[in-house]
Amino acid sequence: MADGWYQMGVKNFGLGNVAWVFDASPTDGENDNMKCGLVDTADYAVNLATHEFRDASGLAAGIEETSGSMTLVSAAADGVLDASDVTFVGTAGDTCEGILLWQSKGSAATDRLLLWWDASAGLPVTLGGDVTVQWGNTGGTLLARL
Amino acid sequence: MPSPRRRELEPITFVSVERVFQPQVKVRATRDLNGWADRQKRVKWHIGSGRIGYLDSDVARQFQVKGYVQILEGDVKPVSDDERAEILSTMTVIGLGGNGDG
Repeated sequence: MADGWYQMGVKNFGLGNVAWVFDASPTDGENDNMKCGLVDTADYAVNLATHEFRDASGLAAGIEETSGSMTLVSAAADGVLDASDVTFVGTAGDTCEGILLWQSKGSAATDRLLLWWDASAGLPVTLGGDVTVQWGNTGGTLLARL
Repeated sequence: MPSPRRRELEPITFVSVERVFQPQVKVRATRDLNGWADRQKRVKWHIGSGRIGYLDSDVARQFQVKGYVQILEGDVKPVSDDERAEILSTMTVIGLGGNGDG
C-alpha cells in the first residue's frame, strides 16, 4: 500500500462536511473534530478507494491506540493541513503498521476516514512504550495537502 | 488485554488528566498527549497541545524530561543522567514527513 487520502475523505472535504479549523474544545459531532490512531493491519486491510466510515471491516478491532481530539492548525490558504504532534503514552497491544486519521462524529458508523499512512519511517511500530506521531515538518507539506 | 471483539463493541471514553493523576504540578502540554487511564474499561486520559493541566509530580517530572510538558507551577525532583537515559529509552517517534499529500 501507500500513504494517501481516502477518496471519500477528499469528497467529504469537497462537500463541506470536513472543516480543518483550530478549535480549542472540539467535540464529537463537530466538523472540525479529528482523531488519529495506530492500526494493526493484521485486522484491517485498508482500501483507500472504497472505505468511507470507521466501521469498515476489521477497523474497530485493528485500532490499537486512539487519540483524543487533535489540536489542528487551521488550513493554510494553499490547502496545507497541519496539527500538533500526537503522543500515545504507555502503549500496549499488537504491532501497528498503519496510522489512520479520521473525523470523529461520535460513532464508528458516522466517523469519516480521511488519511492513511503505512509507508513512513518508524513503521511498523512495536507498542510497549510511548509512541509519538510527528506530522511532517517540511515546508509546504506538513501533515497533508488537499 | 481486551479481545478484538470487545474492542469493537466498546468505544473509548476520554477523561481529563485531573481525573487520573493527583493534581500536584501545573503543566502546559507541548503536544497532544493520550494515555490509558483504565485499559480494561476502555478509558483514556487526554490533554491537548497548549492546554494547561495538573499532573502528579512523578509523572510531571517524566513528561518534562521527555519534552511533553512545560512545568508552570510546582516542584519536581531533579533527574540524574542515568534516570534521564532510562526515561528517554521508552520513546519512539514516527516521522511522517508530509507523505499524506493527496
